Amino acid sequence: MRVAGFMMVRNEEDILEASIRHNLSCVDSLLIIDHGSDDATPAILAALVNEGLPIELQRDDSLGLPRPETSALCIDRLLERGADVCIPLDADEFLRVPSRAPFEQIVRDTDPAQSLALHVQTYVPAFDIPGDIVQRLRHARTASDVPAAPGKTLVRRTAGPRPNAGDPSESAGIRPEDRGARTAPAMVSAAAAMVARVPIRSPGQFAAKIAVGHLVRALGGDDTRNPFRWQDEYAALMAGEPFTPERLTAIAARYSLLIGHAPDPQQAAWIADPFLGDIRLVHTPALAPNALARILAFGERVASEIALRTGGL
Amino acid sequence: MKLWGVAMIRNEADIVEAFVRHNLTILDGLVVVDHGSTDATMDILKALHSEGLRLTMLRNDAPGYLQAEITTTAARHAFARGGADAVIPLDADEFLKVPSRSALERAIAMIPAAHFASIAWRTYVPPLANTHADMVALIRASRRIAVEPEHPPEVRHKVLLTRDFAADPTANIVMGNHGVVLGNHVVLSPRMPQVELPAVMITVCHLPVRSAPQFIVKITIKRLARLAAARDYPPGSNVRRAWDAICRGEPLTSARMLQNHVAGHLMPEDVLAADMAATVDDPFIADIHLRYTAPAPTDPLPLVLTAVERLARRLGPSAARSG
Repeated sequence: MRVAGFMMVRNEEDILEASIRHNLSCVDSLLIIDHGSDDATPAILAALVNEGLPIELQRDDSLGLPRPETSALCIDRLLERGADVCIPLDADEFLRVPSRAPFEQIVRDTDPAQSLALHVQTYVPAFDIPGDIVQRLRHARTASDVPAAPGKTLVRRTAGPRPNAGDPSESAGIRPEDRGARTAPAMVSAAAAMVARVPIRSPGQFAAKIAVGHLVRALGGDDTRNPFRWQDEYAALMAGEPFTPERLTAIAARYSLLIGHAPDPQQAAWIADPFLGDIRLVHTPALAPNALARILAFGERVASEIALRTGGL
Repeated sequence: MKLWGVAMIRNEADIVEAFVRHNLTILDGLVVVDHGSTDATMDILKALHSEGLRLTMLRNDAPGYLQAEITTTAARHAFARGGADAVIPLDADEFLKVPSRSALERAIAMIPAAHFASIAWRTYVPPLANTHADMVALIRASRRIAVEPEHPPEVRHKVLLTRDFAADPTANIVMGNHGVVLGNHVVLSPRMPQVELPAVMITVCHLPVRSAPQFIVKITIKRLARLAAARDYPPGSNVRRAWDAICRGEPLTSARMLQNHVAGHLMPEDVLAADMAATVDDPFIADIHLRYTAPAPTDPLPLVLTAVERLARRLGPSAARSG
């Protein structure tokens, strides 16, 4: 069975090398779209390709959100090229597949009409451990009593009907993890396969994520579409409040959860549950991400586009 | 004789009150155009206006860098509405030093017809490593650079305009308030002739760097505005190098900020910090007290983020998904 991963990444210099090296121990190949990164992400990707890793790279330089159909088209292409299963992943997601055989058996044994999904567990790295991100990930913890995040749906070659790409109302807005998920997916046993997600790694990375995410939504004129997640954090950023380890931990504890469903991080049972493979980083910058630099890089692209379109304001 | 100042300002909450209070000890009125401030600048201006100071506030929210156009319009406003006989365009970090108003008026009266006057422009540096009680204390502690960096001739002075400027509809102030052209092109249009006012009579005292956060906000927002206006600083210029240093997260020492900013006016060559190390005591600030100025922010990120957001909204959804 051939298992392919698909990633859409943007400005993930701090974690991308780790997740690629790790995930390639679980999947046979990765198709990665670099969505307009302006940090070290493009250089890291090129270096990993030069090492001979099974990575296919594409680049999408659009400023705003990626086209919704892009992911679906890429996954279709992976399946047409011979992948039996495609796993959409974010750069901060690490597959934990102790052995391919039991996982593949589950995939084979599941009714083709039934969609399958992986459990997703959010982890918090050890923010204060010196060294590179690998050291902090090795000491990452997860809250055992946090309600389950939405699962990560696998896309199988034998899965049910494809969205009709010719019908905008059908294809628009369908994310890869939704493919085939018209009915509730069957969850793959976490012992066979699951996803460890590390969305928050450092104050600079998180500030950059909040700021650029806000700018992308502002560019699209639709910055109220996801009001549940980042409003408080954006307000804190604008007020100059520091993202302390305690604050970042609390945010991670309720990551992707609706307000009111989040546990009290002081009361949560934080446990060690290692997921990281035996990897070493070669290309990852030593410095933590710089939020101001990411904001300025985005601003530089926006201002250049304005000049191009208007001839100068 | 009525002597007015005009200024286009943006995000100058740390210094705008000192600017207004000081310069109105010399000038009869000020026209201040707020160019899209997102900090407390407008609130401070409104409070000053409420005190009865001779302050006319205008607002221009165009996102590009349009200093020349906006300042020209403001100057014409001062002549037409304020009844000014002479107008001095200023930036918010510029403070007039005029030992004798009557002597200055006599000199202005002698400016030949169809000329403007150039004013000496001197750079001051505060002791950046120290903390000060407020902006006035920082200004009082500032010292003048003994030998100015070798600016190109066209940017060595600031301008003073007479009514002949107002009478000529083709006259336009050039960017930076360093000259006047008779037409719309900064290079191709003929320059209005000028005479020089002696530095002992009038000097514009320039305080471009007040703190590292202020420096970052100033450099980055100005460059973004100029980029959007298709007037970017050339690669290798000091402003571009300062931008790159900020993006790399390099520490901003006093010497680095001065080197990049004091000589940032299109000068591509290095100006060694040592060249600016020699300073002289040459005070200029009037006996003023601040009422509305809060401590300067220590984090430049919110103001920079707000400026980029304005540009993003200006560009709009049509660009969001173009490749």
